[in-house]
Amino acid sequence: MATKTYPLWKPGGPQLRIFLPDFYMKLVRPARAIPPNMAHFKIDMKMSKIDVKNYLTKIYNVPVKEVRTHIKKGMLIRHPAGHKVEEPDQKYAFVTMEKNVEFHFPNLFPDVVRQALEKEEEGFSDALNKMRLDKSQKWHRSGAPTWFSV
Amino acid sequence: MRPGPLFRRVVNRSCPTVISNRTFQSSSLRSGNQRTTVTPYYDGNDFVRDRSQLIPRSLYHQPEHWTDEPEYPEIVPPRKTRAFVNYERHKEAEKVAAMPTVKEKMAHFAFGPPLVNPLKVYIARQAKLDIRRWYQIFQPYEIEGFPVKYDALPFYKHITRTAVVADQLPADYYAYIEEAELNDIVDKVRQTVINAILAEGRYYSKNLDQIPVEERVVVVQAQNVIDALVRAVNLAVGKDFPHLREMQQDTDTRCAAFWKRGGFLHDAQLKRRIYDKASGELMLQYIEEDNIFRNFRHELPLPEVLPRESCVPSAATEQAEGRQVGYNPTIYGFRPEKSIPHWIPGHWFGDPCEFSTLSLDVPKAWTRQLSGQDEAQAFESLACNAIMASFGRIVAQAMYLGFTFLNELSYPIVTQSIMTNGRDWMFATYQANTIALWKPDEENPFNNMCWLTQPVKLFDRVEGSEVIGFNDEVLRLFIKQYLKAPVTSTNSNLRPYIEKTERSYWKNEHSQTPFYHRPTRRDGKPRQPFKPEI
Repeated sequence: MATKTYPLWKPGGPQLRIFLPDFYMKLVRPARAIPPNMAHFKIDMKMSKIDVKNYLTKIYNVPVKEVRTHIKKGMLIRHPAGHKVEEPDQKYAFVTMEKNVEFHFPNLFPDVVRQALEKEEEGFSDALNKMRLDKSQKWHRSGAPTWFSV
Repeated sequence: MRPGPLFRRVVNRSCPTVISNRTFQSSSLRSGNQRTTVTPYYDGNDFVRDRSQLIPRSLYHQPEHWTDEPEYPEIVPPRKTRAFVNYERHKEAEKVAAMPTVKEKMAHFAFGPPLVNPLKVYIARQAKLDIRRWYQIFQPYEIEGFPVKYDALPFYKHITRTAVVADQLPADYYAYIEEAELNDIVDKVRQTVINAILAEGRYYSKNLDQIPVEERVVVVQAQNVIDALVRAVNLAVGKDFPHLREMQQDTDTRCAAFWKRGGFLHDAQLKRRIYDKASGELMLQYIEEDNIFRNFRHELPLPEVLPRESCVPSAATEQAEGRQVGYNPTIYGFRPEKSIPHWIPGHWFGDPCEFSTLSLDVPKAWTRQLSGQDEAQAFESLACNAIMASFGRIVAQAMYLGFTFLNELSYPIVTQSIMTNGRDWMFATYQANTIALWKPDEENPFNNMCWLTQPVKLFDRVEGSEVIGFNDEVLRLFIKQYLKAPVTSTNSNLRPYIEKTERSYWKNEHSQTPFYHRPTRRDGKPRQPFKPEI
C-alpha cells in the first residue's frame, strides 16, 4: 500500500516505526439518496477499487461487498486575470456494504453548534459594521487606525 | 336582443368555412388588381385574449356559428402540476392509439415532437442534417441484465413493477400434463441428453491429473445440449402436441426495449423538468447483451396464470421488510446513454407468430460473474436477469402488437424463460399485466409477477463415459414449459390499436432505419442515411 520505500532496518536503527498509508479517503454527504448500506467517499486519485476495499476492511473492519469508483472532471473556473482555468479532477467511490449494515451520514452541525456558529457570525458582522461606520465618520483620517486620534 | 340561438360556437383557426371564404374573397379581389382592405374582425367582445377565436364581421350572424346548447372549450389543468402531466399524456396516448401502423408508433417515440432548441433545429435544417442523429436528445438509462450489482434485486423489481415468487413455478399452471405421462417422456429423452453431455463435455484444467475425480468440473457447450434436448422431445411427442408444429423458432435473436418508469425518489438534479418533478420519472432502455439463443413463438398467447387483478403488488413486500425503493439507476452503476428509443423482440412486425412462449438464454457472464458469489447472491443475480429478460421481451413484443407505455395492455401476456450454462438450469414464468409504468403506483391497479426456481443441476460430474448424478427434475421442468400450449382461440381483439398489420422484408428499409439499431458495418463505410418514408 505504501508507495515509499523505507530503508532496510539494521541493528542500531530505530525499532518502532509507524507505517501510514499514503492515501486518503474522505466520507462525504452524497448528492443523491442512496441505500442505507452504501457510503460515498472522496478518495485519492491513485487508489484502485482493491485499495479502497483493503483500506476499509483492514483498518476499520467495514464489511465491504462492492466498490465502484469514478472520476469527476474538475470544473472550469474564471481566473481574475480573465482566462479560464480547470480545477483538478477528483476521484469518488461508492462503497456497498452487507445488506444488514445501516449507515447514515452524521449530522455534523447539530442545533447547539449551529447556534454558537451563528452567534459568532453575528459578532463578526457587528464588528464589521462598526468598523465601516468608524471609517465613514473619520474619513479625513483615511488609512490611519481608528484608535489613532489627536 | 339577438333572435335565434344564443350560444356562440367555438371556432378554431383551422375552421374550413371561415378560411375558405377569406381566401376566396381576397384572391378574387387581388386578381382584379383592386386595392383590398382586410375584413375587420368582430367578436362582440372587445377584451379577447385568443385572437384565433375571432371571426369576420360578415360571418358573425351566420347560423353555423351559433348553437342552442352551449359548447364549452376543453378545460386544461394548470401547468406544472401532476394533473397537467396526466392531461398531456392522455392526449399523446390518444394520438398514438389512432396511428394505424406499428412503424408510425415507433417513429413517434423515436423521433417525436421536437424538444430541442428551435434555433438548433433551424441550423440543422439549413445544413441539411438529420436533427435527431446529430443532436440526440434522448438519454435513457441503459439497463443490462448482467452484470448485476450486489443487492440489486429491489431495483429490478421496481423498474419492472414485479413481484417475485421464489423457489417454485405455478403448480396449477403446469397441471395439464400427468405425472405418468411426464415420466414416459423423460424416459424417452434421457439417454439422448446424456449422450450429448458425454459428447460435448470438456475439462478446462491444466493440471487435471492432480485434481481428484470428484472435484473435476466438466464444462459443456450449453447450446448443443439444448439442441439435443429439443430435438429429442420433438421426436418423442411431436405428434401428440400439435402446437409444436405451429411454432416458429429463432436463433441468436437480439432483444431491446424502451419504457418510462415513475416513482423514483426526488432528485435535486432533475428539478428543472416538470415530468420528473411531478412523478420522479425516468427513461429506461434495456439492451440484451448476449443474444438469446433460442426463442419459440406462436400465433396465440399463452393462457394467463392468475387473473389480472389478483397479482400481488411488488412494493408491498419491500415495504413490509422496511426497505425503500426508487433509488436512481446511477446508484447501481447504470449511466444515461444517448440513444434513440428502440424495441427489438426478435422478429419483424407483421410476423404471424408474435407471441413468445419460451426462450432459452445462455448468459456468457454466468460463470465469470457468479463464481465469487455465494448461493443466495447468485440466485439474486440470476433472478434479476430472468426478470429483465422476460419483461424486456414482453415490452418489445407488446410494441409490435400495438401496445405502448401509453396504451396499456388489454390482456395479460405470459412468457417463459430458461437460463442455463449447460450444467445449471434456472426456470422462470412471467406474467405481464401492465406496461404503463410511468403512472404512480397508486394510480395503477395492476402488477407484474414472476415465478422462479432455484438453479438446478442437470448432472453432478462426469467420470469416464458415465454421467454421475443425472437429475430428471430438470428434464421434467423443461418439458412442462416447452409443451405448454397457447390458448386455442380468443374472442378479444389481440391488436386493438393497429388497423393494418404490414409485413415488410425490404432489405433497404431495415438497414436504413436507425431505430432497429443494426450492428455497424464491418468494412468501415458509414451507414446509409436515414430517409423517413412515413
